[in-house]
Order: sequence, then C-alpha cells, then structure tokens
Amino acid sequence: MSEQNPVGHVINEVVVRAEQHNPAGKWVGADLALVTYEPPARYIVHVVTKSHFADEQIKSALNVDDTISDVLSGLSSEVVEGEPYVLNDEVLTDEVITAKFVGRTIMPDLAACLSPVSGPTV
Amino acid sequence: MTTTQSPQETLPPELYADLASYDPRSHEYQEGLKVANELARECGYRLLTSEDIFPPTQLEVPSGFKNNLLLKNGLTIPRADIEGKVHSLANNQPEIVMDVQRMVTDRGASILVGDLRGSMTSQTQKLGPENAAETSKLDRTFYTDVKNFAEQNGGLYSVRAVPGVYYSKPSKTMLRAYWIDLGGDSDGTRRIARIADARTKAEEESVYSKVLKTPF
Repeated sequence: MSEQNPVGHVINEVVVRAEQHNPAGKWVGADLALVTYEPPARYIVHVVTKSHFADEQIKSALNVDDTISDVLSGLSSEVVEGEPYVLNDEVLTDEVITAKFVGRTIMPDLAACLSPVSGPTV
Repeated sequence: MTTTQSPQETLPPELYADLASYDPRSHEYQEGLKVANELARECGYRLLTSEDIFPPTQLEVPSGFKNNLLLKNGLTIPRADIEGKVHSLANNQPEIVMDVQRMVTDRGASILVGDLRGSMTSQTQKLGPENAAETSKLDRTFYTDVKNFAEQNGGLYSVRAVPGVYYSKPSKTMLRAYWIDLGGDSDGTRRIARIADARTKAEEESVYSKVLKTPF
C-alpha cells in the first residue's frame, strides 16, 4: 500500500505536538503526530472531543467576522484544513490518546483526516 | 530654586524632539535623556517617559478591545528571556527592542503585544498568509486569542514541547500564528510576542523544526 493511502497500516508511535484546553481547563483538542514503521511514514492529525467539535461547528456557523469579500477573495488560494478526527471521549488524556491510536490499524475514517509529512524536519 | 510648573507638565516638546531619532539603547539617546531630565528637574517639570519621546499611535481596535496603542520601541527584552523557546532569531543582540501594541480588552485587562516575526531569519519570515483576506482572518483569530490570554479565559492551543508557546488557528484553515508568553512586566501586565506564521502543513513543519526546534 502506498504512503498516500495509509489504510491498513499500524500506528506504532504517537507524539502530542499541541494541545487545546477549554476555558474550564478540560483538554479538548490536540495535534498528534502518528508514526508507522511499516511502511515508514509520518502523519499529522487534529483530534477533538465530540463536545468540542460541536462547539466549534456552532461557533463557525455563527461567525459573523468573515465578510463576504473576505470569503470570496480567500477561497481561491487559502489552504483549507480537513475535518478533525472526533473522539467520543469527554476529555483527552495521554492514556486516552495512547489507547485510541498506538497499535491500532488506520481505518478509512482516520485516514481521511491525516496529513502526510515528508522527510526529516530537523 | 522656586518651581512654578505643574509636575504633570513636561518640557516643551521641541527641547527633546531630536531624541526620537536615536536608538533608545544608544549612548547618545541615554545622554540626551539625562540632560533633558536634569533640565526638567531644575525647572520643575516631570521627568520624561519613553511615551513622551515616542508618542503612541492609535491603531484600529480589534473586536473585544477598547484600546490599541502602538508604542515605538515599546518593549525591550533580554535575549535570554526567549532562548529555549525560539531558535531562528536573526537578531543576535543581547537585548531585543521591538514596537509593541498596548491593548486593553473590553473587560479592562491590559496586555503588551510585540512582534518578533521581523527578527527571524528570512526563511522563516516568508511563511504565513499570502493575501489580505488570509492575513485578516489570521489576525482576527490571533487577537481573539490575545483577548482570551489577557483575560485568562483559556481555550488556547499550546505547543506541548515548548512551555509558553501558543498558536492561533482560524477554524477550517491551516493558517497559524505562533506566539510566546514573555511573562508579566514590572506592573504585572502580561506580555506576548508573535514569532512566526504558517499557512500549510509544510510551513507548520518548518516552524516546528526551524523556530521551535522540536522534533516531529
């Protein structure tokens, strides 16, 4: 299977790169780096809790800051992010993230949210 | 000596206008300020502040704020304060002087917002929004996060490997504005500085590897 289609590959490592806490202090979102050994590949995925995803959707729907001209002029070139991967858990923890990803096989729903990272970064 | 001036008054501006043309760290500026303040003290005027010499400019006030003043050379930070967080500074001076926005939120919280993007290596400076619409969208989200940070209202993205580094991200875009917490000033006012922007995953990787030096 090619690096572009990670479905069926096993995740061997997960690194939490960034985390988002809501105003109440709950950990509700994270940027994760997922690593597969076979084949060697690395991906970025943005994960959120279901309640945070719902909050974001509502906020986005109510967003009145974006003027029509902004939207129209930005559409042509703006790099649009894929949907985040939504977890059913109420709050994120290292244990939750490890249990959800490490040793698991990448299924199509997760694959749709992954962004491949090419080459070494340091 | 008898003083007749109110301590709220400053020397006539024409007496110290030339000071604004000097770098505030320079010997000439320091000597000029000393002479001006000796004169002020002798004549009963109050001593000069940096805002007398570099008058602030009122900038467009973002949503959620009631004030946004640009202070020229308004923030001096020792390089050591940001070492360990930022690694691609082009500026190698022991102190970094930058313009700063002094902003007050609708709820009265003050914050100083500096911009270190121009002090980064040129490779990093080129990252980020490519047009006015993207710039506007990213700035709006950045200022919303600045407001939340000033009011300690949470909800921010923090980079796990580097404490004190945050980013702002408009929903449904890959635009990001990275910024660092510089701690409070002597009055306890929170201080932050924007360090880099990104608009794609590849640029985000560049920020992590070149600016933050964090491994994948």
